[in-house]
Amino acid sequence: MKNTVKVERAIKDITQQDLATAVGVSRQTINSIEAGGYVPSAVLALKIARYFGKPADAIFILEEDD
Amino acid sequence: MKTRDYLLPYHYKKIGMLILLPFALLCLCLLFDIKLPSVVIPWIAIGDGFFYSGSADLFTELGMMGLLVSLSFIALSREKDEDEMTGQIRMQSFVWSLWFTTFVLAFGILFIMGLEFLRFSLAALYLFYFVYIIKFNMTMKSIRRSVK
Repeated sequence: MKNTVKVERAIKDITQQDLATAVGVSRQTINSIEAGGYVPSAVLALKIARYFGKPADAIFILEEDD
Repeated sequence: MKTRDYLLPYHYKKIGMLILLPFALLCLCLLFDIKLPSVVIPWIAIGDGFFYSGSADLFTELGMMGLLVSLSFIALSREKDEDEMTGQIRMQSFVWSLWFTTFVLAFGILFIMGLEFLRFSLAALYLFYFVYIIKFNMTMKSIRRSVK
């Protein structure tokens, strides 16, 4: 699964810590999501999407092999 | 919907780490037959027949119970930054540790015999806890290092 969390964060000009605090997870989790090392739960993905004001499938994109 | 994780608060980890060394040393003395003062206390347990009313050695009971409690506190307490990713790492560490312990136990069952097997069994009681704690904390450390 690909995601555009880093891009959205840059657009909003916020740090990983800011996003982590806003959605209730640790900075390590946001870092791992951006690096593609962790796939968030549905709840977390929806929280992130709601924070950026976009639909979840605009930020989290399924790949062919998922 | 919040799900329960059955973990102890974070400060239990510090308590566990504080009391680990003395109880671990005590258990090592028991494991390698290092002479300790013998303090016999009356005890009720499940043994000969059903209920066994007799005596037990204080240092043996204290050492083994203390080690179990300290390892449980360390293994089963929340991280400071506990979240869903930590939960997943915790689960992966449990599975990894279970596999590791399985192979070690299989090796012991097949190749360790006689009285040495008793010594091995004693140590094996705590193996899963040690392996899980090391695996989980090593994984968390490498993740935290990659963020810095």
